[in-house]
Amino acid sequence: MMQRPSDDMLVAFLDGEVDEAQFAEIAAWLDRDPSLRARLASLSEATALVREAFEPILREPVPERLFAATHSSPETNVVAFQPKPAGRILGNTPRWWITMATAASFACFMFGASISYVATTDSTKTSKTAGPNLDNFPVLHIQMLNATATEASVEIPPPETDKPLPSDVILPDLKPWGLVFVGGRRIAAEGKPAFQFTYTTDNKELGPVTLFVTNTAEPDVEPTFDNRENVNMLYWRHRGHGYYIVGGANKGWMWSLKNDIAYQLKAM
Amino acid sequence: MNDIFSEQLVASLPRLRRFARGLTGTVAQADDLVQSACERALTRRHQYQEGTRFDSWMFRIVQTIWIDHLRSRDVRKEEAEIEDDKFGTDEPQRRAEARLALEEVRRAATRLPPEQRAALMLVTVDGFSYKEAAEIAQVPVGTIMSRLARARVALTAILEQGGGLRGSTDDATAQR
Repeated sequence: MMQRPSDDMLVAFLDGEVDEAQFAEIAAWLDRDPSLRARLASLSEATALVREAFEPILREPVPERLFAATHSSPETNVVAFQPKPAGRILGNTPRWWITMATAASFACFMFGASISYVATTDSTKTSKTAGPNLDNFPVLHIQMLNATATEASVEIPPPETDKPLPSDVILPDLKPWGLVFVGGRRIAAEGKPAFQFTYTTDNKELGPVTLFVTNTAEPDVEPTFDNRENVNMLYWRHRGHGYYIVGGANKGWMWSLKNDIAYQLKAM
Repeated sequence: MNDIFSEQLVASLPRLRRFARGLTGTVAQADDLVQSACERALTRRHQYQEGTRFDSWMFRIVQTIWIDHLRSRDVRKEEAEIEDDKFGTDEPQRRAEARLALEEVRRAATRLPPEQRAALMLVTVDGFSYKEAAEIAQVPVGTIMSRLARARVALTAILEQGGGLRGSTDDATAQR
């Protein structure tokens, strides 16, 4: 018979790290020793409290600098770990309404150019530019939001291009993020058909968000973050397609969305 | 390879942040630590062996950087400064009791010696087995076992004294 279980053994017992024989012996001790049971209960309570205390950290938004650190070139962005005293403000950028207001005024300015861009682009020609004008995507994003705000629904795709989506372009399911698909349409970019999918959410730090999927002959490009007139954008090119996530979400959210979208569209 | 590597890195960020928070005790330090770990991982990605657990590899990097930091700096003094910062909070008093209680438990955990803290975080919070935790911490399994036991006993004592769950700012300061 083993001696009265030590704290080490009780903790291992709680963690399921004892073998069958030890388990049986500790259980027997617990049956006949109320003080040991009390000891086990207090250790167990502390364990549960610690687990619970650290659980919410998993649900915190990850700062964008950490997303950036997972992709950055170490030669150009090596930061030594230099802990600083607490108190640094690590704020998110909950500037949705400001962004939208600015973007809306920007959209008014750019609207004509955008429509012109879409209308005059000949889908049979291939652009010789390195890629589409990035300024157009925020405009088209805002345009779709305005449409969804004033119309009961947006045609998907519009009547003049009522063909099914190409087999290599699917509508990403972003419901796990709380993003609801509200409209899509076929547009043109780089002289080729492209697709716009817009999602909204009550989470104003995240949405609304628009994803553009273009066809391109340009080489692959690593994911790149950009900001055009206070509208954020994360884009990359992969195997003949360009992917552009546009919206007011901060860089951290953008990276998270990019990972999910790239996974679903096999664009990684 | 690089894309998959980065994807794995991104996926592990929440758990790394939690582990780092347990080690350092503050959001800012924890994120600095995770950032350093990501950067080190990128520079040493050739050392990662496909088929082995990526999360364990990353936890080891976090732990190693943290230990290096402890060895290279006068952490005791720095921690005292950080504690002062934390206790001198301007947060409205007891506005959210539940949240505060959890913070108190986290604070109690950060009072443990660093090696006990690491063992507690790896096994109790993150669910690694003793063997896995031992590999991450690069110590024998028996060492993990005893560190864990001491950590749990100490934590139980702190919480029972009220220093963790019900302790006031003054209590916490007095116990230091």
